[in-house]
Amino acid sequence: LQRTEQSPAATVVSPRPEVVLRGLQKHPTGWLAWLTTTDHKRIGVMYLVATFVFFLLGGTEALLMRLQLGAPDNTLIDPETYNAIMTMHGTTMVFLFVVPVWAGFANYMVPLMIGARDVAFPRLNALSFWLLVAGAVTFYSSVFFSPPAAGWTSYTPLATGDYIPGNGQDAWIYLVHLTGLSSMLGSINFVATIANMRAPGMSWGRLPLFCWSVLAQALMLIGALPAVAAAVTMQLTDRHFGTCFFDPTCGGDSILYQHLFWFFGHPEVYIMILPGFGVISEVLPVFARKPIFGYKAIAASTFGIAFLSMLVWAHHMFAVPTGVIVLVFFMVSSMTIAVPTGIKVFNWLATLWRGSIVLKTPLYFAAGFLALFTMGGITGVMLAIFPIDWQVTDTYFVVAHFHYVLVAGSVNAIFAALYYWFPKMTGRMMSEGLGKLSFWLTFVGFNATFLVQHSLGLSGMPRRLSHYPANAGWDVLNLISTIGSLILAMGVLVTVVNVLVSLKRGRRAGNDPWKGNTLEWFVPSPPPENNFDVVPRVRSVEPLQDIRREVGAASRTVGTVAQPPTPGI
Amino acid sequence: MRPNPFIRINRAAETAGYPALLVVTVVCLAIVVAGVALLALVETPWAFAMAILSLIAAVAILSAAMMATLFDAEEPVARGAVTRSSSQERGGGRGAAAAGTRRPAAPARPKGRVAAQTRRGKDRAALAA
Repeated sequence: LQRTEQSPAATVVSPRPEVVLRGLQKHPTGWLAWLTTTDHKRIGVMYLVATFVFFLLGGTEALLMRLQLGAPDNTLIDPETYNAIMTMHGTTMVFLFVVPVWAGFANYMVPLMIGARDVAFPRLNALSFWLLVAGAVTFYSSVFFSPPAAGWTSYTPLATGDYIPGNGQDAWIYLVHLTGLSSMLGSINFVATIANMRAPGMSWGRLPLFCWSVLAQALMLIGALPAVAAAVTMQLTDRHFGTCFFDPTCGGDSILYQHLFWFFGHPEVYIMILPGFGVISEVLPVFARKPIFGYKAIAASTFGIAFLSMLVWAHHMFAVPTGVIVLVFFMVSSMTIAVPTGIKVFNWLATLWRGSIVLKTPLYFAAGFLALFTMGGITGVMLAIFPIDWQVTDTYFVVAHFHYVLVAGSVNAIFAALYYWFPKMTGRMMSEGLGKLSFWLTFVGFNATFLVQHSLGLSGMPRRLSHYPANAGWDVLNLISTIGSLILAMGVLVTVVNVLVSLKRGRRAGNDPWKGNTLEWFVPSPPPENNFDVVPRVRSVEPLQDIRREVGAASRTVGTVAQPPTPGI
Repeated sequence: MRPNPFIRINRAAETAGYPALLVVTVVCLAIVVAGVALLALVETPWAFAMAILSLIAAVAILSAAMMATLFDAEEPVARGAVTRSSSQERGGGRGAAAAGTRRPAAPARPKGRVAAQTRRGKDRAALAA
């Protein structure tokens, strides 16, 4: 504002707004641009690249374990190293791959899907990513001195200084703290973004189902993470500062750790799978060329699953001495989760039913998810019945169950998301041939690896076992499982090759290669820095279908269509 | 508007700036955790019945709250300025009367980061000119 007074008699010029340019900040380029970025899309890409590197690391660790178990009395890996590899594998897959990979997809896609130009707190978003990297570096640096070896659950008293004296266990604790903080900040960001930055007309009832699932996941993380943060902090002070939270010899209670861990740990399972549900809910209607069946039921069941998952933690502790009546409650509450999950599965099937199916790679992975995740859910209901759980607890049956949920469920959904959104992120299509080859290799390899593990568990093979004798009768099934894991690894490698080849040589994708339903397909591929020059008005759960219809109507009137319609049509 | 108390509660909370669904979820969680805590302490059949009832009640309340949140998908969209947010469009913004009453569409002033982006855009436009 400028106020000019020329003389006492002069009139006062009325205030006049002005735009004063003081120079534009020079944007960094090259690697520095990536390191300093607060753009949600770049942060999303960094999340995805980092987490897929961790996926390959965790997968390599899994292959080492399978090679060791491929033959009885194998001496490839000694028991101490096996324990360390097993801990690294579980921790990497849970804390460094499946949870943060969804943060990557959500970072890239949620603002685009809701019609926002960025997340609510872009700098906090960058901090979330770098905290994840810090946690990973801390954890993996322990490989060079003494890796943790107490499993991804790190139960006490096993994880105390008496049994695991090395600092690798401390590195595991810092990993949980740093990645937990990363997830917490990211979750706050997503909740604020989805609650406040939706496009005009996008009421809660028109929010894309992937965004619903990210919202539910974020709320679960905010609710569950403090429990594990408290648990590992107490474990740290027990290890180094003489406290007795979990040591029964001086008045502590080691079961308390299990309660705190699983109050986080069971929601964590759904934290890993709920965004996958969201992806499936986006992919199926696009490739069935039909609206999603039961939008409200799917959104409601997402929240139902999130809510119930906070109330079932003790089913991981059925073997701990507890009153039967308490076990019955947790059995009932655990089985209740099958209801909203079943609602989802039936709605997805109804979406496919009589649709004009377009058999592209994302749909292959989505269909694989449906088939295999349902199997994992059914064994979950079996394990929720505590007398059955008592029989198979800590056996390979449990290992098979949670790999059906987390690999067949989450990883299939992650691959579906990758094949579905890769054209939007890079502007190039992935190879359909390589994609379908990857699907069949992973599908066959996965079932060969884990289906037989149900039988191994029922035959009594304990989990976390590094050696077994030849007369145990487990050698053939273990060999099949090991061969299956190699096929599975080949399937993953084909996708890695597909990504690398398609980045350079993939066919140009255009704005909307799949004829999608949601707003991310409204913008160019890859999207510009500001995402939307204009934000279209949303009138249904399928805003892009509405726009397409309006364009069609306009083209019938005018005779030609050159541009998408302007907002407000 | 439908004669549904959950929709009224939902609208009143959202208009006042509170995430209605989150509030209801926390209340439901507290109901069940209280039931489970009681069961763990006394381990009697009546406590078990209370815990199961609390679970059923919580799921029922949450389902109703979820349906109240989602019902706005059926509402027609009012035409207005592109810059208005959906929450302003639905509830009339902070200070508006609760459920059912809507203020006429008013152009919203960009705030915070949006305002900064707008300023930067103007700066660049001025530089280009």
